[in-house]
Amino acid sequence: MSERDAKLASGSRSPGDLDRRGVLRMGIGALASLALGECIVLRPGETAAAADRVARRPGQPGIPKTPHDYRHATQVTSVCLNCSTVCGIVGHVIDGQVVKLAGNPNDPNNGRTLCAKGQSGVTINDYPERLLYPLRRVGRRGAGVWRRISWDEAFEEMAERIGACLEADKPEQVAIHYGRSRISDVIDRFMGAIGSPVVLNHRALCSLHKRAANYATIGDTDWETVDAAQTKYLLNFGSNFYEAHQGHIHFLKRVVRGRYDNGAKLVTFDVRLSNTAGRSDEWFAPFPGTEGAVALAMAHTMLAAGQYDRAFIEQWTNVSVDQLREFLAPYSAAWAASLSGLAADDIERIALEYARCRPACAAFTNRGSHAHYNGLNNDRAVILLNALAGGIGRPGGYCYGEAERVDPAVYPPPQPLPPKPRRRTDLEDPPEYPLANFWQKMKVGELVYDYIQHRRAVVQVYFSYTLGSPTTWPEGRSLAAEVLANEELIPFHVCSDVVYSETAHLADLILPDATYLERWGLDTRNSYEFQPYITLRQPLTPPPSECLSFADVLIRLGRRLGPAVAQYFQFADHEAYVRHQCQNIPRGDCADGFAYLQKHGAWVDGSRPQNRGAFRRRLTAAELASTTTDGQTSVIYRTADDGRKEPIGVMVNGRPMRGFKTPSRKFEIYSSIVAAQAGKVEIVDDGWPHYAPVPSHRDLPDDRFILTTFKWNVHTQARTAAQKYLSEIVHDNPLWINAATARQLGIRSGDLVEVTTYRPKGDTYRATGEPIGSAQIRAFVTEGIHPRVLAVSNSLGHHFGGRAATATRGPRAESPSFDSAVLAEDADLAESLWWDTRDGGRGPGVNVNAILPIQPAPLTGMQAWFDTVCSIRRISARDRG
Amino acid sequence: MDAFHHAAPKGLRQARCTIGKLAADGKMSDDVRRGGLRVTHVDVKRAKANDAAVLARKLRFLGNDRPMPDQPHYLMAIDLERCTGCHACSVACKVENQVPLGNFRTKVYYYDEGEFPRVRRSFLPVVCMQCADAPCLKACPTKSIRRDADGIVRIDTQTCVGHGKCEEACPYGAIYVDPQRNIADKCDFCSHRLEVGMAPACVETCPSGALVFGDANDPDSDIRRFQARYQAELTVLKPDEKTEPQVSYRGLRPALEKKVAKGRNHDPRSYEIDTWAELRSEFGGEEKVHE
Repeated sequence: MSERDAKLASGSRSPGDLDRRGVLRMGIGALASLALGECIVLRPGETAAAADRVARRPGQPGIPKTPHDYRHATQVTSVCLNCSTVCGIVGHVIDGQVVKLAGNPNDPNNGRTLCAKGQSGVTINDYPERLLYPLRRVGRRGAGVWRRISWDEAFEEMAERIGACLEADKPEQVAIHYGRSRISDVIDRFMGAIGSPVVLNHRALCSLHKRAANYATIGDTDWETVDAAQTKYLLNFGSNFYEAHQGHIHFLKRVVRGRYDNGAKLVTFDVRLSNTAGRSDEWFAPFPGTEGAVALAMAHTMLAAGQYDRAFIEQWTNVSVDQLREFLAPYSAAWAASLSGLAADDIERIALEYARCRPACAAFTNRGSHAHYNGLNNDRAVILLNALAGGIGRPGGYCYGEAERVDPAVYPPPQPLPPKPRRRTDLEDPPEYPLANFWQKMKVGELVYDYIQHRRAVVQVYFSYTLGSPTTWPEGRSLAAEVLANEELIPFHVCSDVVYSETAHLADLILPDATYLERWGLDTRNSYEFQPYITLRQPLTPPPSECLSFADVLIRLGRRLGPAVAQYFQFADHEAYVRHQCQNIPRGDCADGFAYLQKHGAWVDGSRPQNRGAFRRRLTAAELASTTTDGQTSVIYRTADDGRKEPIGVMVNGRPMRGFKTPSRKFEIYSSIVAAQAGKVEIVDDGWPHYAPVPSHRDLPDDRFILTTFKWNVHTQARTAAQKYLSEIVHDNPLWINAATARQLGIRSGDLVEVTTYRPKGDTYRATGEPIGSAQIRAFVTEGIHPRVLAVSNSLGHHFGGRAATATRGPRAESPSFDSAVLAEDADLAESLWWDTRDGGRGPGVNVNAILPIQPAPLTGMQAWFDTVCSIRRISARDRG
Repeated sequence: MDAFHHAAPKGLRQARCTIGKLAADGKMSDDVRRGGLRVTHVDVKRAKANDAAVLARKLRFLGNDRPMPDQPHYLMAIDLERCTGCHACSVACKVENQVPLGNFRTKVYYYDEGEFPRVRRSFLPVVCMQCADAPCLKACPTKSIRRDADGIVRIDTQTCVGHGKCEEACPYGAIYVDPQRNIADKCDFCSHRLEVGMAPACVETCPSGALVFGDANDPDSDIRRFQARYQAELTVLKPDEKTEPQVSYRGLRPALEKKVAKGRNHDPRSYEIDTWAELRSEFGGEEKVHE
């Protein structure tokens, strides 16, 4: 047992009863000084305490600060996780403290650069309000009364609770719900080991439609990698990659190069003037949810003008030009103009500008186009523009270099691996949404709490990890928080977190997590250099005090659950697990693959040439052995050992080609999968990417608007508000309203307005059109938004998370025994946090998700974030006094 | 602006140095001696590759406090066309230099213009301009601000007593008085990083390559290459202040300078999102009183 393990195990259960001890210490900072078993009270605006591994030196009058002395710094590579772009990083560590982060030049995607969020990462490790000790709830859940316990006690209770489910042969009553964890392999192993399928996620609140559209059309990937540095024309439907994209600066850097070093033009369609829109060569603001109509009209225009790649359509798609022409016939520019509000001339002009740059041009999307009721087909329509341009897999076009990514055999997990759980529940496999889990287990996260409430599945033990559902879910403050607070619906809730979050507040057991700068893992993204790569996340410094990464929690817990489960955890810890995975990584200039990644941070598989799209690869003779070709479809099948026929390619112009990983091995403009799956839930869908309006938006009265949300460049969803330098730049989130609309309503910037939202219409959850909630927000009058759209950012309006997140200036602790705290105070938060409302500041903003209705789209379950109908009224004039 | 040309390019001087060394060794023809000023860049590169003195210069910062004879002259250029307004420079700077909340050494302003639907957004990152004629330097009652031979304006933190006159004098709002330490502070191109051969934190992290930095005396430096490509388009912020900034901009429209407050750093009561569409620098609310 390591010294650290010994320390963690040494805490014994405190004797003595709570009432006699009696003292509930108020507020912040007490935690670090609590003896085992003592309690504190946490309420909104207050935060849990933390410990200090390196004394912070507060500024003294007349004493200059000491600049970082890099001559005494150690450099450690790792991987960022302040957003999901997962950039390679180098941490500079001085005296056991991470003082600075930089991009890892060995990372093929980001190189030396990092965004504001990446730069901010160092503030997480030493945030004074970090959780450092396991806590057990005392009294009612959500009352905020906690008892510090030992890890031993925490593990004992978790093992007991899970053990009871296993004993009752109800493993599916154990659920793990996570956000951006990057340890899904360990989570799946744990759940496989105990036999529960209930691994819940957030994909349906994030990227489901985009991924589904890519899968349906090209099969190879759920995420395109636009070759932006070499492109000549970019058609951007609803992606704000200058601020927040799953490939954020990887893509941004190359678009900037493409535009200013290669002469590319960028055209953006977005209802709001994001930084991307505001810096595009042209910005168009279509009515929300009409992006697909605009894209279809562009396709119509290209076809009508003969400005398209006929050969690609004929050879590589599953429809003929005549069929496509027939499908597109009704979708004229004039028709799209009437729906979108854009000028027909503009639609035609942009379509032809784009077409004339073919094939070095690309049309792409993100949440702006797909987080709608009709978003699946919006995105399919945009992808179609790439087929017409013939740019699929071409330099400067719509590429997907990760299609043949690093072979998983290169980084095998330790054996044995548990079998996949055979049980199923509605929670992870909602039968109403056949496309949610068709290609990958994307699930329908926004419905989980409703299903639990309605007992569609019984949950006894609920783990939450990297999950901020009370703030990030639609109806999070009502439904998600209510269900999480309900001790009958969820008898035992374990939350692993870095700070005392809204989710932690509603837990029974809080486990102090390691930050992403203190834990292990292998990571990767689609490579914008079109060569697969792997990066290593490793601790820049060890986790402080009793913090333990959730992966290590699961590994230790697994070993406590009896031999049947423990057999899958016969390795020391997560580090050993990752070390095992690196055994086949080439060792280069190091002792082994693990040491190579520890030193360099990234391994790029340079053994193959750049791969922009695998479909044009000719099948080898070996691949063609024992295959048959379907005479009608030209699909090449290999007969597997069990007799099943597996498509592996397609004959094109008499040559056996790999093709796309679709049923037809072609680029599927028509999708047999979509048509067939729709039929299963009695939805009529002919499989073509038709445009259908958003039901809630039909016949919209003049006094109703569409409420949209967005991310700032300095924030992700729930995790960045506690980072002081980010919240200093953006802490309040006013309501964007178009200047002309505001004039009509008598609203000026700074006025307090009330926004009321309504439930959706159509084939979706609680489609009643009734009011759902109201929020009071300050108005921000701008020319940069569609006249019928109002916008409020997400990410803000936190009740918990420490002083930076809640905009609370002042001392961390009121505890008289503060001197025993291990972590020093941050004078910035105590004295200089200038946006506290008590000092005339703007405060922490509003949580707009609270009033957004749950609205899963048909077939897929994707949350239609940007369809919400709302009304607005002015409450009071600007009041800054 | 002429500062770019004050000193002979580093390469030339290196070449001369090499030539001089060769001449001293009696290995150089009179032609070469006379034609020293016509040495081409190719010659310079060859000379550099062959000269151990160049290596010594590359290591010039390590442990040597004396200015080298071939002193670098640091410049920055900000390409507003490439800037994406991401604030990475600003946050990188705050972390690097432990800048207290409410103060900035590096700050990014936004400006929206036009009417829906024809609206555009501009960004304006602002750092200390390292003015050749620096108002802060002249305003300091304790003479704690100096302009060093490398072109960087630095504050002597040992003698500064936090008068704040420098902050008031700065046309760019680039100086603040640290509220905890009562010592003035501002961008010094991350001098502590330059000393160990690292680029300023903002430059290193800039994802779009909008921040260009280097030694004007080094013909191979990023800044020299940038100047070669864009010299005619480079301007400075607030030229009317006649401060001779050593930070230049590409794509700067003069109107944007109204976003930059004179005489104060960050206004703690400001929240700039409100003022994206405005060309003014005071936005702390009506009740805010300024001198």
